[in-house]
Amino acid sequence: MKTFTTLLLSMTLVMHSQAAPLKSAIINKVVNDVKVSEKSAPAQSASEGQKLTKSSTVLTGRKSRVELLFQDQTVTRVGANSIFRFGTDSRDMEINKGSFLLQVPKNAGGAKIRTATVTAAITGTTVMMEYSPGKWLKFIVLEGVASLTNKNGDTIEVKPGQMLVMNPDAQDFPKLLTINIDKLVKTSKLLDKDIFGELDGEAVILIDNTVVQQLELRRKGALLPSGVLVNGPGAGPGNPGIEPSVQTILPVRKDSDISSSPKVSPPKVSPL
Amino acid sequence: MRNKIIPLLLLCVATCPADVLTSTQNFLGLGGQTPNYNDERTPSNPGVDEAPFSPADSDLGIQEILAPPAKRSPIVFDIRTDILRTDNAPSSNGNAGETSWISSSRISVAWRQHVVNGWFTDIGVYQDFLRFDNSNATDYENLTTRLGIYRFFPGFGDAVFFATYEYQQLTTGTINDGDYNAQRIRAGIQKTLWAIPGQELSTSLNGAYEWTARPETSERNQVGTGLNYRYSFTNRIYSLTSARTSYFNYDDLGRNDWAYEFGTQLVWQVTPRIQANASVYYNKNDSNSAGGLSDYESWTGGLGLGFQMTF
Repeated sequence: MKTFTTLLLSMTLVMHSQAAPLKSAIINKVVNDVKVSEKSAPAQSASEGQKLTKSSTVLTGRKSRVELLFQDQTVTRVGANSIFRFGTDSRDMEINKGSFLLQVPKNAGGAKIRTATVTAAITGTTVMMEYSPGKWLKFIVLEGVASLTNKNGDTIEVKPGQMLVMNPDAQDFPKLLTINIDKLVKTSKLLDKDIFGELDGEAVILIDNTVVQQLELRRKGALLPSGVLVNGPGAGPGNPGIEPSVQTILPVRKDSDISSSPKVSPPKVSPL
Repeated sequence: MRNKIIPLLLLCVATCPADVLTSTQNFLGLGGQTPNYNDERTPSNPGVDEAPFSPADSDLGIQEILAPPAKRSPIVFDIRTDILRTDNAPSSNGNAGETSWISSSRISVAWRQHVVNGWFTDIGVYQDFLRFDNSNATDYENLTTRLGIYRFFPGFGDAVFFATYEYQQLTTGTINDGDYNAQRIRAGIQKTLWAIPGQELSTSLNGAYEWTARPETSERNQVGTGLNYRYSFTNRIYSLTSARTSYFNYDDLGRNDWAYEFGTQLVWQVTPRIQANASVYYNKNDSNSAGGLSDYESWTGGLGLGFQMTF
């Protein structure tokens, strides 16, 4: 058994080492204001079909989104007001701020998502993430499993249907929350079929599996809606798009503060 | 929790003093107070502190926090009092439109516990004390107990089905078996029609079958429906606007009533245990009883303060 485990571990390491780096991507979809900067060159407007090579930085403005398709069919959808970077001869991606969805096909070799303080490792997984430096980090697993490591080296595993919300500078991981994936999928712009089309078929099936499993748990009464809905305005009138300084001077890591007061549904008290 | 409204409804109506039920109907809610089972879907609200709003939420989608039911749900003890003003107090002079200040107090105890396979029990008892400063108005006490079950149906948008046995007793300042008492079975559904963070529109439909009542002339069956809209200004301040109607079919004398209620209240959740509110309600009862004896309408408004403990 020990030999088998060692062999399996070795095979896994070999697979990882043989996984092709994310060297290039094609811009599949552009919505509104999306810019690309190659290395330290000034940002240029992005266009569909444009090929991105290593060291590309993608920026999105207010109400703007973009989908990238990598050579191994890894899909990345970047949300509004985001700065996203890839291509360092590895399978690492870096998010400076903003939100994105990442869908890595099974057996593609996984990927690492890096922020300044937290790193997420995924293998054949669909995740969504939002990062605001110094403010918060949200990480949601739609299917598959992800492993997050903080700057202390502590690790936490996030499973399908779970969400981690934390201050990225926190010393410890908070407790994981379970969220309604069905409702999330139906209301997420990063999963909007009208904007981006369907995700990979296998991923869709696995996300559906997550929804079905949650529905079964809810039918059994093992999970209940708490009455708490979390959702913000996104890039609306009160939230600026890319700051001019960020658009013109790249690369930049700016802790722009577009915070607003938390708005969640309070406990209900209405009699019917 | 919901008791806040009820007392507010306190009003008013003036009718023949013999018809205790009708005269107190609007402060009891239209045909009893069905708990809002969405109200406390989980004993606490996990995630409120842990899952703040963030700017990219519209890209990520609505994050509805799910949580397992508590192994032992807490017993919830509520006490609250309201000071209200009405333009039509229940009076010994009939529906005379006499104004009055009202002091309404309620003590309630409730326990909802998950039993098996998504089914919950709902056990509760509350006692109201209604005091009018107008010397012509009649003071009342209302005791209601309920024993019921309910269940969420996730496949139908988390609609809630409930069925409850109720015993209700009205007294007028004396400890006895009541000027009015009744036993009934109530069943219905509650459904959130639309919800985004900070706003919710919900509806309910319920029916009640009464198999015994005293006096017998008060025995009646009911079908009721309602619509509620909640808007949150902040995490602690929100408004509740509601419209409800009920149809009552009395066993006696072919009497039929339509009752309507429209109201709004502003609620301030001062602390997790303390709640203050201001409210205004309009009630109307349209009856086919002879001489319009059971017709009434009233406006009532005022301020309330509630305190809740769980153990």
